[in-house]
Amino acid sequence: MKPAQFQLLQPTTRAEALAVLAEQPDETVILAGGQSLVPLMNMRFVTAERILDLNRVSGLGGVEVRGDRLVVGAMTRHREAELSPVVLDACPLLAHAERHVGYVSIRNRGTVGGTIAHADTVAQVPCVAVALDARIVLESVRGRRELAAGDFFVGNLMNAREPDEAVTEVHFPVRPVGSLFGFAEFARKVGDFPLVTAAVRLEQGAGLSRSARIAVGGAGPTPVRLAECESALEGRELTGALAEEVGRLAAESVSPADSPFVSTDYRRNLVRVVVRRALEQALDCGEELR
Amino acid sequence: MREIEITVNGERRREAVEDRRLLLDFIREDLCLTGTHAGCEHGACGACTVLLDGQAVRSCLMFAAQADGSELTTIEGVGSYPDRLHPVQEGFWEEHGLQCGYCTPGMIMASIDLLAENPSPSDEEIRERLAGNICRCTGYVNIVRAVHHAAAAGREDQS
Repeated sequence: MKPAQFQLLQPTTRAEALAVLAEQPDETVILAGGQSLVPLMNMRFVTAERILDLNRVSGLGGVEVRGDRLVVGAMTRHREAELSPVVLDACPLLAHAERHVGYVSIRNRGTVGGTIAHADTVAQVPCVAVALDARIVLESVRGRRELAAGDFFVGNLMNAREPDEAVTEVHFPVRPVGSLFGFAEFARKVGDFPLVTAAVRLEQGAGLSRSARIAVGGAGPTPVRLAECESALEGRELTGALAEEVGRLAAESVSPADSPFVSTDYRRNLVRVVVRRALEQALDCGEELR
Repeated sequence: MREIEITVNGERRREAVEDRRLLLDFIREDLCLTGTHAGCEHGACGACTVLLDGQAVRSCLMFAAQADGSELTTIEGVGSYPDRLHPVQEGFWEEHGLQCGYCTPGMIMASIDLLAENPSPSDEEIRERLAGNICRCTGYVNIVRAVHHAAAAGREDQS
């Protein structure tokens, strides 16, 4: 359980980091918080000649609201995103989901940009990113581009990043006034990898859901929006019965792969349960608003 | 190899390390502080928990070179037997919060981190926080009691 040899590169500026990455993009692996990468290196599932450590690069962390976006620097620690009053106010769904990421000692190191780039289908922040249509900012020496979360995640542990690009920011839309939100997951124990996650946000008008966003993770290779469930919610008042109905619809609209430990039927049932629970949370935050 | 400088339990240490040296192995093998335990070595068990610049982290999930310039606290820096036990160590002693002791250093570091943030945690808060530290002996009941014991001692100190 010791990582294979590598050269650790620790630049201190963004320009320097991108230049280091551009030198040998295919031989360089980017190290953010290391809470997923280092286990993979310890087990030698990942070996690399060069590890580019972003921890000493200035200006890659921190959160701020710019217009209608909450801009989260890639090196923002999960623990900071979880506890930040700025995040709680601008994007409470993200703050709530962060509480479920690993354990406190993992969240003290792990980063928002890292979990996005790692692209695990059961990870909490990617599920929120897909639900809210977050924008992933990629930078390289060639320039800067933005991808919608739905286009960034291309498979389990796979993303649309070019080898010379680094995820530098994640932009979440600021919560519309009076919108309801919820995040639920099923994990065998607190802090463990969940089997399924669900994130919802409902924009409200006159007691009805004007527009709905629902994403589930763990039911396929990437987190996905559930269009049928969203239309089932739109124009209706959220109630416990509707949450139950949409949960059932969600279970019918996913086709998770069978695995030796988690059968398709079981995972589908978990989708039903977590979607219902996420909607029940949204219902609770509606009660608080009244 | 590269030179790093870390303040360990209040003492400044300069050591040469390989880039791939895990902080955990640096602590155990280079500094010979074997109180920090190597359990799963992939972030699941919490036995290797230390405080880095005051925050609980898993020392198996970072490289020693990344801790260059930091302040590190290991179980050896927390307290010592018999006269200078930390209140959390007292709690584990009094409530019999350990059997084989393998998870104990990590449990104590995580509990210190919890109590620094929340001096009067509920059962549920203790259980949730320590969910990242696995114990295969105790069944956790006495560990929860140990943390309550330490919390009560801390409150007494305050009054």
